[in-house]
Amino acid sequence: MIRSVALTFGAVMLRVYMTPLMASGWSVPETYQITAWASWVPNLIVVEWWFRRGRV
Amino acid sequence: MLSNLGRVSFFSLSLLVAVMSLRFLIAPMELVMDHMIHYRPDVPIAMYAHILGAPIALALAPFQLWRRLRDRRPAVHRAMGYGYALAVLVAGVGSFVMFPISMARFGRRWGSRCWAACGWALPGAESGWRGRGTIRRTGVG
Repeated sequence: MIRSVALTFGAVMLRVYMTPLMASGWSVPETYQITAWASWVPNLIVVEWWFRRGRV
Repeated sequence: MLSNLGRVSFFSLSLLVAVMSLRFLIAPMELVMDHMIHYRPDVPIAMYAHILGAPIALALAPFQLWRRLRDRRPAVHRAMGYGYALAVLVAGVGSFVMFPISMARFGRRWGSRCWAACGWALPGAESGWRGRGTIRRTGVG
């Protein structure tokens, strides 16, 4: 469940990363080059790290 | 698991983005979601499944991790869990149907991002399906 929510939360992280990129002049499709990966892979890594540390 | 600040941020950001993502319900898509409009001629059902299912999943997600709700109102937690799993599945399947359109439009230039979106949808749909099984098996997700 937590992994699933971490992936779903990618929709929020997408906007978090997109905002500064668009502020620096990138178009929406251009931002996807970064956000398509950055919005969900780090979330999964953090959750896995959390699991391994026994925090969940 | 999370500090109070983290919990409040998680809840408020999820709900805020979910509500904002439903803006196409009150305004023309050409105006508020022009980056999605190219899907509509070819795969309208998948597009609407994605842009409707994903915000619903995002709005329900924080409630699934709310321990107090799970302990005090297990029936509500379970019902929301079903809603979450269904919304994730609908949005994920919509993404897969939209994937060939993305590849045709952006594949040559930005194929990597299309595969990333696919990678995002696959574990999302899979975990939604698994969550549905957990709810059925144990009564709580």
